[in-house]
Amino acid sequence: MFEIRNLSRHFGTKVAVDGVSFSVPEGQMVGIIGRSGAGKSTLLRMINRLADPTSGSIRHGDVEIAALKGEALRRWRRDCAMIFQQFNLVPRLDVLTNVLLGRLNHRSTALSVMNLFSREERIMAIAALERLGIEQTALQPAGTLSGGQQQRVAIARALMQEPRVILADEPIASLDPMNAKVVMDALADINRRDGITVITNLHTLDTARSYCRRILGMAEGRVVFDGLPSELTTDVVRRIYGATDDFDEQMTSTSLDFSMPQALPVPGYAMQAVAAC
Amino acid sequence: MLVLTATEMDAIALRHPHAVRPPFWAVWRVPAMAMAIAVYVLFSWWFFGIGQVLATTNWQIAGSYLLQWVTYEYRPTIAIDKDGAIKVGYPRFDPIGPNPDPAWMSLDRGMMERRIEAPASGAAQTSGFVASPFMAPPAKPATEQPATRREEVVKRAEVRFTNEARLVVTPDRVVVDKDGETLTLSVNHDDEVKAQGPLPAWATQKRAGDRVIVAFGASGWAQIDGSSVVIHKRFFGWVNFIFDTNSAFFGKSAGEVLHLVVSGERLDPARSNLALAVDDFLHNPSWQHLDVWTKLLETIVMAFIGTLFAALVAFPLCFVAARNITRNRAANQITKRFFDFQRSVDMLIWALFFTRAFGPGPISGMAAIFFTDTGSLGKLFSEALENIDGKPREGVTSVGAAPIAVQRFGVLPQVLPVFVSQTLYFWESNTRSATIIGAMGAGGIGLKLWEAMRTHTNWPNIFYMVILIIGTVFIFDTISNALRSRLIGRPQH
Amino acid sequence: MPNRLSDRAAIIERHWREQARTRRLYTLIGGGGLIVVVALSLVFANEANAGKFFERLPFFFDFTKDLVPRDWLEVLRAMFDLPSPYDDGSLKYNYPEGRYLVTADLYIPEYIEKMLETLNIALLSTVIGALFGFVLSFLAARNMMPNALVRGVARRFMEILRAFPDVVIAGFFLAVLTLGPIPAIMAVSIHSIGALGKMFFEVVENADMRPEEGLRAVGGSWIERVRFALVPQVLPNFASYFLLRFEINVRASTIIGAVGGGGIGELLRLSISQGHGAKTISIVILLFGTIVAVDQFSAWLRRRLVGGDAFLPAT
Ligand SMILES: Nc1ncnc2c1ncn2[C@@H]1O[C@H](COP(=O)(O)OP(=O)(O)O)[C@@H](O)[C@H]1O
Ligand SMILES: [Mg+2]
Repeated sequence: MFEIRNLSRHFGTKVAVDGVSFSVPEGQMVGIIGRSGAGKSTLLRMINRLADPTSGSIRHGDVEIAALKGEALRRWRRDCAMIFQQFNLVPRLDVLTNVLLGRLNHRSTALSVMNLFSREERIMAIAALERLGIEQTALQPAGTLSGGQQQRVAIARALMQEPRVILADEPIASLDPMNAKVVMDALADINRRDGITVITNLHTLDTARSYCRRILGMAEGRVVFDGLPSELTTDVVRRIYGATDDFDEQMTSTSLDFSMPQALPVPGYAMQAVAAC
Repeated sequence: MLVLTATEMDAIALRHPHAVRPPFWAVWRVPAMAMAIAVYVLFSWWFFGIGQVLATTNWQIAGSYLLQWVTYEYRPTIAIDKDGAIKVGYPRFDPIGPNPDPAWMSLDRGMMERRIEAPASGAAQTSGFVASPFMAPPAKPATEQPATRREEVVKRAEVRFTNEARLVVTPDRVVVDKDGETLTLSVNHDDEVKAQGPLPAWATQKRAGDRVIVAFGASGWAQIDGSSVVIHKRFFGWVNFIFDTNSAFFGKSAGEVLHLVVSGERLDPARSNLALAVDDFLHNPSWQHLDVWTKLLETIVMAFIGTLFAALVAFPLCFVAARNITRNRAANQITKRFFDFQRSVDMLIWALFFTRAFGPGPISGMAAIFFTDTGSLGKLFSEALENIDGKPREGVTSVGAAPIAVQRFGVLPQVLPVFVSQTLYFWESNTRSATIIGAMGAGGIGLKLWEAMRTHTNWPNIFYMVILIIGTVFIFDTISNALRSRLIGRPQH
Repeated sequence: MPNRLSDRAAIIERHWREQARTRRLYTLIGGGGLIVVVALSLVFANEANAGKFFERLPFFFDFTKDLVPRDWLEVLRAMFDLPSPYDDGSLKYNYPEGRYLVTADLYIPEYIEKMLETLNIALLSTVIGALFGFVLSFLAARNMMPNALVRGVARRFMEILRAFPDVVIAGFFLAVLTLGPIPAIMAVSIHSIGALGKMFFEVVENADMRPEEGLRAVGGSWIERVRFALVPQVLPNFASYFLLRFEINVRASTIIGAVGGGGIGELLRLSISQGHGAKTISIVILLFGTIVAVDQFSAWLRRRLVGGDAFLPAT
């Protein structure tokens, strides 16, 4: 259970996030929509604490995330994986090492710095890559992969963190429609089979509709909508996007026809879904 | 979550053997590099005999030299005569000045009946001391009968090094207190010193009866032998930095000096007090301000003219060297090799040759910088030219401009900021190089520094010059950064 | 073309002329000032110099007479420590004396041995400079060190190391350690720490920070972020600056050698001042060859590491 109360973030005089409150039960897949500059990224970055809140509280279970420091903060970041629009991989390192870097917080710094990962960890990393269907790229430098592949590497790295929550900040904004679908399917699959909470910022309304059981709409730093995809009427959408009458929902959609995700091809091993963690 | 059983793991390992077994270099590259560096450093340790040198080095000397960068000493000698009369004297050039009465030394005086010895030996006794309270008796005709006379002498001298450390000299013993420990030394008015009780850690004596050295850390030390105590009283700061002891302004406070300069009576009838003060300051014999500044200016001029002329000569040559400007491979190659030659005959060699030709001085240094950097700048300039964008040139050529006009309007605007920026870099770095070239004989502050270093005594002056040099480099660094960022519009760091 | 300009065009024309006039004025003042400064500098330098420029110029090449060896094979003999037929017991022809014996018959010629020593001084100093500069650069870079105090201290420290005159460092350690190569190593290393630290931290500040953000989100510690997000990015540039500094340090350690730090520089200064032609020429050739070789090698390696920018400004 995730609970955010009155969370705000100011940049100088600019209020990026303005008194946001909501809670997310374990295992939900939440989409956050809103126009550019609405404060979506800032909100996610505060949850992972890449940005510090100006005021308000973020609680996970009975831990106050907003007050964490040092070692405890880094442990929280491990539990709360983040996926970026620009992938944020290390381009010069090979894919497998990039995935293994998800383990950083599980091991001592000395071991990590010496680049000594155990056999179990390497196998885990390959398993994660297999699950995302890119195991054949394991030994290539990450920078040489296509955008869609890189984002899948980033998801594999997130899986290696064994997180409770995955935050995705516009994970498909830099991808072509085909790759976007693969990435969104992967996130939905992780949410469904592993029971990991997924909170994702999306810039297209139809993606949010087809993948998320719950949608938050943000405008000017505030949550202006919180409900089921079916409750997103044209009026509500206008309110979120602050658009005038000539607003057309098509403007926020990609041309691809999204169907509900199929389960990924099940590889020859079991990835057990551990329900509540 | 990724929870795998052992069999599943094995299955994966079987499917991806290459990925599971980490590539050798991926794992060992960093340790191997670290090893290689460690081995190389160890090798050099042996090659240069560093361990041996460090082990035999007297680090106390290093500490004491460093301390001297920011401290000065007064060195009174407290001499104990055979009859128990104590005399306090200072060396001729002691920075304490002509009328010493320091607060850290108290003297108890009294009258005493003394035998006057032959004048020759009397003079010998007092030689080397000036301004001592004891004045040599006037020479008088030698008589068989030794005369006596009453005179005022010091009976007890006390030197306070710190609040917890002092040294008291009485006619037959010297008592040293430090941090609650007391050392009593009896002196025999000849060459023998005897310690009563064991020596504390801060006192050293090579052999029984030898002189004793007592150290008080940064506040000084003293050397005690049978008939005298030499005090080294140390203070932080630079002494007599403005006026030396033989200036009329010595020992006056800033207010007094200002008053004298503004409205005081002329100290020297020949000129105003202001002129006198300025002259005394500039020609201060222990700090030699004027000379130091002149030498610094020589160094600056060396770097400035050397770099400027190098840039001026490199400028036309680089157009010949650039492949895309002069379409003549022979001309390109000859100019480029010429640049390489100048660069590679090092600044050192040029400097040594030019000092032979012109004698030591800024001209030699200038010439050395000029010759080396014509090569370096020429190479840089021609590379900048070869990397230019060809479109503006085509544009200018297309309007039917003459070749010179093409260079002027199509090429120069692109490369000029780069040229100036590189030249500024070199100007700044040559200011530093000029120092070391100077030390090799090209003059300037480098030579002065080097000469001061050879004596191992002038550390405050050395530090003064170091600060001036660092300041100059900082200022030039700032100027050239500011100019550069205005030229290229790149933000400064 | 119309002879009369419209009103607005006339205004523009006038402004353009005014601007051109001010620009010309500034150029004139700047150029005039520069010429005056240069002229004064030249007069001053000529006054301060021991020999006057125009007096000495006719005799400029006189000293080269001392340098011409009796026969040109002498140069080779001096370089390889072979006995000279002109040997009269004086210092001028005692080539075999400085041989560095490896075994009873096998020796390394003195100048080559000293040249290697100078090269090694340069290499060791560059390694020391790079090791310390590496650590300092991450403390001085804005994007890796949010604490302004630590950053400021690291930067000022490097600036002082860079500006500190090497003569003084060498001289100080000469005074403390007596002779040997260590004063030269100290002087060159200390300068290298400052110079490399500065170049390194500028590289770090220009690094792409997205990988670093990714690892921060993973929960990586500061050291892990440096190791995995930054080091792979900056290492090629660091290596390139390392090589460039090595080139500079070869020259620097030769010069320091000449003021008493051992190595080939000292021998060169001695042989020039004593007018030993063959020795001087053989050292100059050796030095020239070494510098060319080092420059070429490093330029080649740098081109492989970072492509294009093979020659960067030296600071
Ligand atoms: N580091 C920052 N400094 C200043 N303003 C920022 C910063 N990050 C975000 N903002 C501002 O906060 C607002 C919200 O930004 P963001 O959270 O990125 O919006 P979204 O992700 O919804 O497009 C924007 O107006 C943006 O300009
Ligand atoms: Mg955003």
